[in-house]
Amino acid sequence: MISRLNPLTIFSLLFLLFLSFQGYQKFQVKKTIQISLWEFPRWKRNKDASDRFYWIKKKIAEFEQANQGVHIKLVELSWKGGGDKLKIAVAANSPPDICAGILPVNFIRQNLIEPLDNFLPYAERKNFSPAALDACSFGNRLYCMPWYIQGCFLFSNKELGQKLDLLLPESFTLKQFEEILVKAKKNTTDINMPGFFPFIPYFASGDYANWPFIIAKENYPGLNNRYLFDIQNNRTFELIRNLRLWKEKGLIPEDSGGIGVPDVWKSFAKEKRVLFSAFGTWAIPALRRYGVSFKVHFYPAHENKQQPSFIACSGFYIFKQKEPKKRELCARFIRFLTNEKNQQVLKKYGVFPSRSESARVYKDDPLMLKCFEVLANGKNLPVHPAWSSVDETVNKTFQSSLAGKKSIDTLLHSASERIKNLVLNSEKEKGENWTYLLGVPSVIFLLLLFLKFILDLKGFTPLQRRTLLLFFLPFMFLTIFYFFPILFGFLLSFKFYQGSAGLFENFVGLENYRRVLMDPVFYQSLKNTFFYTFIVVPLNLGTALLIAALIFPLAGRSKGFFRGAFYLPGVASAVVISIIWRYLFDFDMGLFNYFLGLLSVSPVKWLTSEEYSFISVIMTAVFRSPGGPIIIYLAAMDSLPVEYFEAAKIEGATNWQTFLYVILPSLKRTTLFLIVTMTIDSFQVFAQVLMLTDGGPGFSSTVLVHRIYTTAFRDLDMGFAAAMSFILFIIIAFFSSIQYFMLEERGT
Amino acid sequence: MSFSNRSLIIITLVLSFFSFLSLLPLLIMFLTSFTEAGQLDLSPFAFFYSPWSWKNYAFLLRTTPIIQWFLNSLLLAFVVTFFHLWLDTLAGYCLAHGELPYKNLFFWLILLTMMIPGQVLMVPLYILMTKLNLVGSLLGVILPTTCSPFGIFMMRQYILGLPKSLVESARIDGASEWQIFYNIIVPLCAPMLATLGIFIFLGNWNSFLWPLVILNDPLSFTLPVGLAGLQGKELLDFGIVLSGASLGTIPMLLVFLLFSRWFLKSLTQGAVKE
Repeated sequence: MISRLNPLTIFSLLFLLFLSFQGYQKFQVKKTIQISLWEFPRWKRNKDASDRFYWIKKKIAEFEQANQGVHIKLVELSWKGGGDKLKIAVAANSPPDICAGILPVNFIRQNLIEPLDNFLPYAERKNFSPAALDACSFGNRLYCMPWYIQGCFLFSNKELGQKLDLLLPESFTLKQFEEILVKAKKNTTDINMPGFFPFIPYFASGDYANWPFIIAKENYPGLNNRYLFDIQNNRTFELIRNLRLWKEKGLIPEDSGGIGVPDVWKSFAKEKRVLFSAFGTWAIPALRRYGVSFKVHFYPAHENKQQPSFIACSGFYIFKQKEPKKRELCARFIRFLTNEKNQQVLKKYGVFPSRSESARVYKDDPLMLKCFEVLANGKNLPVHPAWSSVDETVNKTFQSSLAGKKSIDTLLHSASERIKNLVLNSEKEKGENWTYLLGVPSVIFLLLLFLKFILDLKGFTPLQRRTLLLFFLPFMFLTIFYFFPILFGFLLSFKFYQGSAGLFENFVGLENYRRVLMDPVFYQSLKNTFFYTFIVVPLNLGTALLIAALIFPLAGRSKGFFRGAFYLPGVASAVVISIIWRYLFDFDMGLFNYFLGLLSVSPVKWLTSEEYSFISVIMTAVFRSPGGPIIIYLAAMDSLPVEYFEAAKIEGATNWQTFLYVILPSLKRTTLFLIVTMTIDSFQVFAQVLMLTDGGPGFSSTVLVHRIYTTAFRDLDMGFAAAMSFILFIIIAFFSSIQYFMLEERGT
Repeated sequence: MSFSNRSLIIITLVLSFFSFLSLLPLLIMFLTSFTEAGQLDLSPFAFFYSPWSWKNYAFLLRTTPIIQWFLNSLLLAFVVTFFHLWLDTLAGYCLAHGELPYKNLFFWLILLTMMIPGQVLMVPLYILMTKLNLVGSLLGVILPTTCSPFGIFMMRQYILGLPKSLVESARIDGASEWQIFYNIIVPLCAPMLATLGIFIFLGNWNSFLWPLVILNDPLSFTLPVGLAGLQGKELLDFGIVLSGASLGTIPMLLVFLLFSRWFLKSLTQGAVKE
């Protein structure tokens, strides 16, 4: 009997015990009121500290002191991935009580956020900057307690301006701005300045620093427009053409449009080779820290009209509460965090307090006061559920219009069509639908399957039954952590997903699939994904086989060394590897373009043009050592019986013949495994794209999983993402089964 | 195969060249972590000429619970690797040489689960974790990563390559399925277990999104999650990024050495006379 107590039984028992313990914990009574607060990293106490949460921790302690019986639990988010974490928690219907950030329109529309109108009396609102209140309201109700405002400015490098003998006025018209740029360009020809540019514009999703250069004030996006944004108009056309002309004149870099903020920041603040550039307010303290002397300008005016900059307001918002007492406490806490006294600290962060009087913290800082004035007239972005996807479309269009060769007209037209679709789709009524009827037969089917299995159990041989016992535990894990979530995801693809809705509510039928199949960006990503797979899989497999075959005959230490040398770097550090690739691909200073220059080939815009950006992504995959396949091949070669080689030796086979006729045929099963898993992996390529190009310029380097990721975690459109996932699943399944049957039948 | 010394030297030289290229990023990372962050602002290749400095490491050790994060990561990776290998081999054996009913059905079911992008499974898994009250605990990170279709597929392919007669003769001799599994299959799988073990260990050592989503308390963070929380919004703090990343590679090197001991020449040799 003891021998029957195999690890399986013990493990299952422990597991059950643990689950019941977890359940027991849930029922424990809590005496204090618990409030959870999710915050992002802010400022450090000083240069020698690393904790970016010390301020909020201090305030929590103060508040708990003043309100006994309240316990506030802080969850420290990170900028990278923190937003995803929040959205996953909300989609799973277990949001925190309070969270920091800008107005979450998608959550509000799902009725998840408490309105704050009752907690901020109208008398007190006079103290707030109207722009801040405006940015925190949706449909005339206040949903977010305004904390601080951020916006964008045009910066110039004072030192460079003096060196180039230029007069840099605070404000100018577009014509005057261009004259300054032309003059700057001309003056640099006298002084030798490598890589100098008078101005670098850039566009990226969620970044509006350079929008005033492309959109005239009267065309700024807004809710008064039926479709949010009128992108297809003569002024925008003119302004884009203007930027293209600047590019031809060499006033802005050849690859503007594809450059990201970090690169522009590097050129402006570290290498100091750029005269003008637009950044958010965060740049002011950063530039001071770097010791760059700079000047802040108004955006160039169009036809004598000042171009306001775009602003965003951060604050705290409360998720729906059941108990009025807790709701009241949450509101009191966020009012405490944003009161006048506590807003003084924002000075450290270089942002502008939402209360008008608090701006006095900057009374000794004329520059910040001036910026504050400018921002007070700033323009809020429209508060609309479709905004994040519209923003993506607009920024990508600007990227392509600068980086690509397509005509501006076509680009603006297709963008405007896309925006209309996005807005219309977001306004559609989401209702009950007959599709849940599909669910009933599938549940019945699963039940029948299970029943058949139970009935079959009697017919099994004892050996089969014992094997089932062996298989039970792995299968249980797979069922809980793979099969159920997949079924859930499948259900999701027929729904308009809301965390708070029940499992069988909000069905929209095949609507999500229809939207996917109507989306031109989906087809672009599909094309790229196929292209990637068909190039990368065979090449990587070939390289892996070659390197493994070279390592195989070595012995002992050197074999171990090479095995590690080809595998470890691939998993070492994604950050470093992406920095190095960026350096290699850089247009002005990159190594690749340097070598092309030696061959007197004109430089290529690797990451910043629509023609090459995806090819560059593929290159990173092809030139990386395929570490996993190499060690799998080696393990397979090592397990070949020695007799094979001895026999080959006796027959007098050369090394080459041994490889071709002894090793290669016996690797068939490993190769099949590698081909299938590598195909699956490369259909799901994602990380490189996210790090190197983020799908840009335009949508030129986007891939399927990148689309799935952005629609799920940025737009919170879980249904759409799930529908795309299942379409991808069908494609992968099709190709894998072809590969499997072709290779499996020939081999073994 | 027999190689003359000359061709072995040529092979070694060729491999050395390519492995140097391949190791370069790792080397750059290590060297950069010993460069002061201020120097890096000037050039990403400042490590080349600037003096050695321990400041980045000292800073991390002084101001963050990095040792705790390190231990959490280590615990996570070891526990996951152990159970992962065990479950994978178990399932792999059943699907390869075991007398499992509906073998093909199960195999294809497992193969198909690999083809769904993980991003869609996040929300359902999170719901499951809230129901199990596991949000915020390391166990919530461990459980869903303890088994993977990839590992099962890999072990199944490998075990299929082992002679089935071994298993059959053991059955005739009256060995139980568990005895066959522990005494025959597991030892024979050593080279593949070492390979898969490295994959799992390093994959979990570096995993970011799932631990980030599940863990709430700074003291239970893993290394990548903890380091991400030290970053400001707009600009990367390179000193922290790189010294953290380098610190993270040390156990990878150790584990690679550890597992290498099992990269032995095949144990099947001479086991079966056919």
